[in-house]
Amino acid sequence: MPQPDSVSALPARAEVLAKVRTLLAELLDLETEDPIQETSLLAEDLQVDSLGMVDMVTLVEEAYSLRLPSNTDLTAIKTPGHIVDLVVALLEKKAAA
Amino acid sequence: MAYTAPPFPSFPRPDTLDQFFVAGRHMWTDIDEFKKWKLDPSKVPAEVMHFLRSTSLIEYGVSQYVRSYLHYYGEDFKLSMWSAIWAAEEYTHYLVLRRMLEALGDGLTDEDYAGLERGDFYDSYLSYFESARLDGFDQRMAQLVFGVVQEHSAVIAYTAASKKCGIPELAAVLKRVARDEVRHSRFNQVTLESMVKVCPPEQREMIWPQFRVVISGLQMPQEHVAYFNEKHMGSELYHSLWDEKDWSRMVLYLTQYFGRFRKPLEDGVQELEDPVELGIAETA
Repeated sequence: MPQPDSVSALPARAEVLAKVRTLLAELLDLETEDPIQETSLLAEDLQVDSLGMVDMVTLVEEAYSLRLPSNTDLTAIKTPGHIVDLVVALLEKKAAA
Repeated sequence: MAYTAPPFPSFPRPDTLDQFFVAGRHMWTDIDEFKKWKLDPSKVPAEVMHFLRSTSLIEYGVSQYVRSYLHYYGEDFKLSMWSAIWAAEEYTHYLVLRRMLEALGDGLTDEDYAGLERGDFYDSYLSYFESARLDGFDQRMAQLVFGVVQEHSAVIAYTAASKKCGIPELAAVLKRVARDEVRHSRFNQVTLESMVKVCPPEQREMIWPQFRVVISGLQMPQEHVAYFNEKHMGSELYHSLWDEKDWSRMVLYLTQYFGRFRKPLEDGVQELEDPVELGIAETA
C-alpha cells in the first residue's frame, strides 16, 4: 500500500542533518561544515552560546515552517543530532495532524 | 517649549489603556486582608525570604523607573499615561510583597529603604539603555522591546519563587503577581504590534536585532543599586531560584515572540501559551 503523501514527503533524517549542519555553518560563519558533526557539542565544540541558541531556534523554525512547543527544553539540546531529533519528531507530528 | 508629536502614534485609541487600567483595579481588591495574615517563616526557604525582600524593594523603586519611561515616552501622550498607571500597579506589588514579609514576621527596615534610595537607577539605566539601543531605532519601540523582556523575566522570577516558597497561600499570591507581570509584558507587546502597523518598515526590521542585543546583555534594576548585592539580593539570587527549564522557557517564549517581527506581521498570528500556567504545570 502506498504511503500517504504527507508521510512520504517527510525529509529523511540524513537530509535534516545536512540542513542543520548548513544552518549551523551559516550561523557560526564557518567556511566548511566539517567541524559540525552529529555528536559535536554545541557549546563546548562549536561555541554556540545562549544567543546562538536563540538564532538557531529561529533558523530551524523558519527553515521547516515549524514552531517548537513552548515546553521544549532548550538546555537538553546539546548536539546537532538533538536538533535533528527534535525537527524529525515535529515534522512527523505535523504530518500526522 | 512647544509640544512635538511623535513621528508615528503608539496606538490610535485609548481602549487598550482602558482595558489595562480596569483589569488592574480588579487584581488586588483584597490587599488589606493581607494585614491579618500570619505565615510560618520556618516553611519558607531563606532564598525565597531574600527574594521577597528584594522584589518588594525593587517594586518600591518605581519612581525611578517612571522617570526613565517618561524620558523615552514623554512626547507620546498615551504611553506617558500608561507609565503613570503602571507605576501604581508596581507600587501595589510592593505593598503586597511587604505585607507577605510582615506576615512572615520579617518586614522591611529603615536600612532597606535607605539602601534602595542610595542607588542610582535612573542615570545608570539611561546610560545602559543608550549603549544598547540600535542607532536610528525609535526610542519608544526600543523601550517596548526592553519592557517585554524585563516584564517577562519578572514573570519567570515570580513563578519560580511561587513554586519554591513552601506555603500554598504565599504561592498563590506570588502567582498572582506573576499574572500581573504577564499583563505588563502583554501591554508592551500589544503596543509594539500596534506601532508596527504604522511605522516605516525599517523600524519594524530593527525589532529583532534590538531583541538580540537586549537578551544578550540583559540588566535588571537590582544591578544598578549596590545595596542589593551587598545584602545577597542581586541577580544571582534570582538565578538561584530559576532552574534550567525556567531559563529555557523564557528564551524560547521571547525568541518566538520577537521572531515574528522578522517579516511583516500577519493577521491572526497564533498566541503564545500562558507563561505562568506553563511554568506551574511543569512542576505540578
